[in-house]
Amino acid sequence: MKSWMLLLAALIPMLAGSLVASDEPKPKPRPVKEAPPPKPGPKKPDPKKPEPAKPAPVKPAAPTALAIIHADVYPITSGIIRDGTVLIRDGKIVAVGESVELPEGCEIVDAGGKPLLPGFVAARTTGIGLQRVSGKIADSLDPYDRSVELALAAGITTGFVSYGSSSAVFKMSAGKLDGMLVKEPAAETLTWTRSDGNSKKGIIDRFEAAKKYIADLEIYEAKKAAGDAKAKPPRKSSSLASYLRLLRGETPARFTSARTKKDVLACLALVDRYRFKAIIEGAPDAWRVGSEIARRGVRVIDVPRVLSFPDARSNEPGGSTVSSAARLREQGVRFTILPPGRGRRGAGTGISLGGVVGRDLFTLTFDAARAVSGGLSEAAALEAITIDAAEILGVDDRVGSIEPGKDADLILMSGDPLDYRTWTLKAWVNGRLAYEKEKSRLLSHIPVR
Amino acid sequence: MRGATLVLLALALTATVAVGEPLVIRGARVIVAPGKVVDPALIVVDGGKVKAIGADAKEPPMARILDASGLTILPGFVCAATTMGLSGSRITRPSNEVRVRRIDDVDPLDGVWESARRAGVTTLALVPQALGVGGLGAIVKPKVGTRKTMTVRADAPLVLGIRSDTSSISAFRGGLEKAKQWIAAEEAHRKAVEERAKVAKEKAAKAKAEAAKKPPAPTKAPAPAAKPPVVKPEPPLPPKPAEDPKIMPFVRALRGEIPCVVRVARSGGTGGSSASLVRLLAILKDSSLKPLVVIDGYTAVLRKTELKASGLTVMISPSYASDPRTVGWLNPARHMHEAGIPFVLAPFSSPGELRHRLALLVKSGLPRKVALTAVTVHPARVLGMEKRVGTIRPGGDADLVFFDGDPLDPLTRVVRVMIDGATVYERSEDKR
Repeated sequence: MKSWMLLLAALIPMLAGSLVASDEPKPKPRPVKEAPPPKPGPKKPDPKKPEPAKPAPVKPAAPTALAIIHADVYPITSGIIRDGTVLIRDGKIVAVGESVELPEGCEIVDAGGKPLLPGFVAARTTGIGLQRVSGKIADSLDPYDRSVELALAAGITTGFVSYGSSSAVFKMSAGKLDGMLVKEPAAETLTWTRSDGNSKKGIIDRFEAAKKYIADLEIYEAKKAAGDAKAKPPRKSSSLASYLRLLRGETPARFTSARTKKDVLACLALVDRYRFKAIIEGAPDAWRVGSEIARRGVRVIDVPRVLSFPDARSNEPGGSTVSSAARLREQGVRFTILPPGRGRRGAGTGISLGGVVGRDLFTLTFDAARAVSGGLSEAAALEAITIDAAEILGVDDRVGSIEPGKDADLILMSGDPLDYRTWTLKAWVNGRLAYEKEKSRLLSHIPVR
Repeated sequence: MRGATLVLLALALTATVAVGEPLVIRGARVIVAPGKVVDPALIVVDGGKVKAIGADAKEPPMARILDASGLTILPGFVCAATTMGLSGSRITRPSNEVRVRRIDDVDPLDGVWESARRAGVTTLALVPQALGVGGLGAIVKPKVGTRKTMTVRADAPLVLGIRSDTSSISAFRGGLEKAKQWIAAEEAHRKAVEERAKVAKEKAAKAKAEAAKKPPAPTKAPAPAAKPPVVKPEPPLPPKPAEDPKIMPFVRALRGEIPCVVRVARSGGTGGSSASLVRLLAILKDSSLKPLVVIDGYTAVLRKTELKASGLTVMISPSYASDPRTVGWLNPARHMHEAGIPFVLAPFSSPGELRHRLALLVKSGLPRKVALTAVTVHPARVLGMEKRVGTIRPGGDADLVFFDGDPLDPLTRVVRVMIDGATVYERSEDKR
């Protein structure tokens, strides 16, 4: 009996560990974080990295490093580098700067003075790069889907998707499944406002149960550590998994049903009560309580194209406007931007294939531009769809900016990133050339201005 | 909604202030018609009309001056067929009723008019989804005010819808046949009347000439003798057909007095709505009816040859169309342009999307000028309003949209919109 219990006790953490491991197709992104400790100075080129010593130019033809030269590099987290170089090795950015020492035998791409940006990050997608989803998204990813190519054409290299209780962050690694999944699970959808008392009670009950489980587990572990062989591990219910992740800060909650100021405040109250990371998605009135949102570190997804009326029952100004994004920024809220889309789930926002036939797959930059017309600075608009979106998805240690140590997800654009006539000429995902407009079956015929 | 009403009231005030004295708009870059730019231009507006436009137009004395330096002015967008504002008149089954007037569904306080103004859409033809005979649409301008002030035409366009089924085709064909018979009967009547009038005139002229021939003999004696002794009974005239309100709209459409819009019902499959379209073209073959054909982009691309031969103008959605054959997608606007088929683009429901969508089409290879023509000149023409809207011309309506940059750029905002010379939208007063 005792030995059985011990075995179980040993198994639980193991199981948990294996779960996490299976979520990650590759080793966890930890090593990435450790790699760039000399990050503080990414603005300046860092050519004296130890790498140049390592390369093996004597080895077979395949170059291990790729350098993109003569590019206007938009690192996003620092100022634009004119005529800069980005050096990539093993899917990671190794060096960025005006003058980067290139290793021998490295492949060179001349950007011809065009803008080079980190790939855009779409905080919600629907039906992009997916086969029928049931269960895990990791098992449904389809890098051969044409929507992946189209997303790359729009400059999007990373997306978030949720179906039912599954959610994931994935990359548009066209033609390559390896490295497509970044993170699963990635967020928990919470329909807190606009649900009836029973559903709310259910949510609270599960939060409380998850809280109790964590407390009990601590007690149990303390007892175990103290050598108490009789200690019983608390029972874990599978329905609590997402709540446990929230309480442990592993994933953020997405409030998809908040509309009015009252709704947003209700969400914030729940955040105060259980202290978890949260994202308010598509709430027209979010800008009205921006400082409250910012104070709690809650993130927002803004949809500048939707101009909704103010709450009819309120006398205060409200509703969403093209200036919502600028107002959120003024109040210190970290947010990203999405087109309205017509996602089947969630808040009906995001990049979708429905968008290809007319709407929103190609318009992420249009919507960012729309926010600019509402008073947001161009730099802030670009941040919103790169580093801020990455941070909101919890993957800013890997994507969202051009910095040494980050994933080499880069887009070479034909002109100003927010100009509506700009196309993505080339896109690299995990350091691999995943899209070339010239060779695209769908888009090569379109002239570039 | 309350907020919206307040905005409307505020706009109503600005609107009333603006009419009256002549107005001179100075300094703007004016796209008088797609591809034709006057920079800087002077626009003189008086009585709701453009009086003069040009680099050196004469300023009238005592005019209000509006400085528009740095702005780009475009003629207001014209939407040749939309269901906007028609939420009350959803048609779900084939109808055969031409007397329904869609203007009666227009609610001047509907938020959609505000959206239209904000988007720079200044003329709209309200055309319901219809199968068979869909009644009379309406042409409106999204002004602030009443249904009456908004109305441009309450009797047009004639709305028809076709699908490859007997009920819609027979309603369609039946209406046209009856109208043709009516026109034939009316022409027979008119010709007979004209003939009789001609005969009478000739007779009178003859009599006069004869009378003139013999002026020297003003004797009274022959006069009674000259009178025709017998009054011939006149043959009966062909009867004048009664003006049946069920037939008259067709008659007027056939005569080109009112525009006509035909919606080709969508159907799925790799043929798209080809079957319906081909039937429509067969019905129209020997007809003087030249309707605007509202069709899905995929079918328009499939049936390019037939459409080109018909000489009709088509309306497609300003978006990509999916191609069920290749699971790829098409840019129908570019195909229409390359095939030389005149086309109009219109947003079906949300005017705010129009510029966004045009931008995407232009980005995807449609020439700018063609894109702008499809939302100004062509729709004005198919609505029979080319002398009033769609371009900025002397004598035309002063429907002007002021932009702070390239009208297609999402970074650009609509700064001000004028309809009939009155400001109906000011960005600075917009709460959205």
